[in-house]
Amino acid sequence: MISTLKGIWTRYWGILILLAAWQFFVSINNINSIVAPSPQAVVLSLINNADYFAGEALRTTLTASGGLLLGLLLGIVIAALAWSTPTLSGLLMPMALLLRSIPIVAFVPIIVRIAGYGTHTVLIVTTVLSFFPCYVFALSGFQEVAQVRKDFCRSVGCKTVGWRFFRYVAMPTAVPNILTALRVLAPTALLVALVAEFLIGADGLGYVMLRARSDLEMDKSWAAALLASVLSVAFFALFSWFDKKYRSNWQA
Amino acid sequence: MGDLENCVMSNTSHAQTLQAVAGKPREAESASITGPSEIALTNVSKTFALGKGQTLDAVSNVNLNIAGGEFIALIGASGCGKSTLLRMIAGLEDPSQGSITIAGQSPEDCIKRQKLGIAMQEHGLMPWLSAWDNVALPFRLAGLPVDTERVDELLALVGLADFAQALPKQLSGGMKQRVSIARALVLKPDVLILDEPFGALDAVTRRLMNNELQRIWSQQPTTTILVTHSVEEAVFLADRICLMSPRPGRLALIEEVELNRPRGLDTMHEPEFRQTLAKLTAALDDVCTQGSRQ
Ligand SMILES: Nc1ncnc2c1ncn2[C@@H]1O[C@H](COP(=O)(O)OP(=O)(O)O)[C@@H](O)[C@H]1O
Ligand SMILES: [Mg+2]
Repeated sequence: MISTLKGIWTRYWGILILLAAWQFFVSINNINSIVAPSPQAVVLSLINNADYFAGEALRTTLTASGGLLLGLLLGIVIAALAWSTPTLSGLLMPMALLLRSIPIVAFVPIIVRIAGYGTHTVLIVTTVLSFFPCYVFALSGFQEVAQVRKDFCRSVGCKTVGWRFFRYVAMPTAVPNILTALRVLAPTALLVALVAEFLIGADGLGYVMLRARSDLEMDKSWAAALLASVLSVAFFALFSWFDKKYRSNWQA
Repeated sequence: MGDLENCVMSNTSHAQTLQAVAGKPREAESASITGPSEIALTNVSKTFALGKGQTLDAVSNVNLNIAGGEFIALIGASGCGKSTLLRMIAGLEDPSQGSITIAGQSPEDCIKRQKLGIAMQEHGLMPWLSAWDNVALPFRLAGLPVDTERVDELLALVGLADFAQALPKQLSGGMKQRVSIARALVLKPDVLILDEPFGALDAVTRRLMNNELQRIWSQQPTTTILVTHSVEEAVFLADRICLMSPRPGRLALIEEVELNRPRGLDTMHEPEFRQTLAKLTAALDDVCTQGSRQ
């Protein structure tokens, strides 16, 4: 217990320095709280509105995770289709690339036009933006089966294109790639959900930021931002842990 | 060249005398119709296109008849085409010229009927599956119901019954190779193809593995072709040894091993073993230096 605390301390004491510098900067320069609230004010705002923040944070977390998982599922399914039908991948890859290269601020209004305002639109945006990397990672994972394993499969009469090969060899081979996609995408999905909420005005931390800013409640807006970064880091840590735990089973 | 032709011509008779030499159980085996398959290679050549019009003759004009239940070792310097020849026999690569038949049928047919088992230097086990599941995998890949008793039996045969639930990463190099061999044998193949299966192991483990393979093989004589760069391993295991000369890969010499079976670790101390070993080592050196002089 003490050693873990010590570990956390040695790794993250820089954060304390940052907080102290922030507080120092704000009080020395006597900056108006509308420009930059002090850490103290931000923390107080968090504590005073704990229920409110918890509810909104939960909402954003759920939308982000939902979008991430849907994007992952969609990515895997489409990648499986592209794997089984190479001509299809010639169609899918450019489409996926196009989808990915539209900036989120341009992308969101288009989706809103189609799907309307609301949390479901945030979910769609997160799903679509998670889809592409998942698709790429999964597809390259399916194609990464080592020659010696393919040879073995063929030697027992299993073609390296069919369902059985996919189910027993290609699919499991892609697991480390999918873990990587999850780890890299989890924090991004959260930020995408946040931005979408902000732009659409759907409930969640993004909307908290939007409203607090227009009400000039900077402490609240900053608190939401702080909470979002903490969540993002937590997402990354969670999926890194997950990745670490299972990846080693894929080393021969 | 004359020597080579003689060798090839007399293969069939070699094989017949061999059956007589090899003792009772194999005679019984070869008498039954569903015994291990014989393999015939006729004028087999393989040319790879290297691009820009360049080609490489990896295997050139190989003629060989392998009797059902015979153990053949293929030796030669690295890069002389042993793996290519083996891959052609296993139906993983088509010959550029010539034909290969296994029990009168094409290697592809043999594969379709799940009558072929292969194990390579890279074991190729699935890292996410336990030893047990790895050995059961051929059933699943072939779309057959898993014969759990057969899987248990094979794990026991290779001495890994206690490691059934271990993942490959938890096994030593020798254990992984044993799982790989169990996996190759699980569908009761008529032909077993081994490409330097113990190439990455240390000398002691390797000798033990050879002994084990010898034991497994004599329990169930299967037509086996083993590629190895260890002459010792070849002499210890094989009925006949084929020596391949480099570039283009041809059969330079076919040597019969007259050691009695069953063979054990003490076989290696017998004078006949040492003689055959010395002879083949000299022949290998000879063939390889000739190759490099070209
Ligand atoms: N797919 C391939 N394409 C081109 N050249 C190849 C291919 N496979 C093998 N070769 C070449 O054929 C020769 C024989 O290779 P190989 O059969 O692997 O030798 P060995 O197993 O005896 O070491 C080598 O020179 C190798 O570079
Ligand atoms: Mg080789």
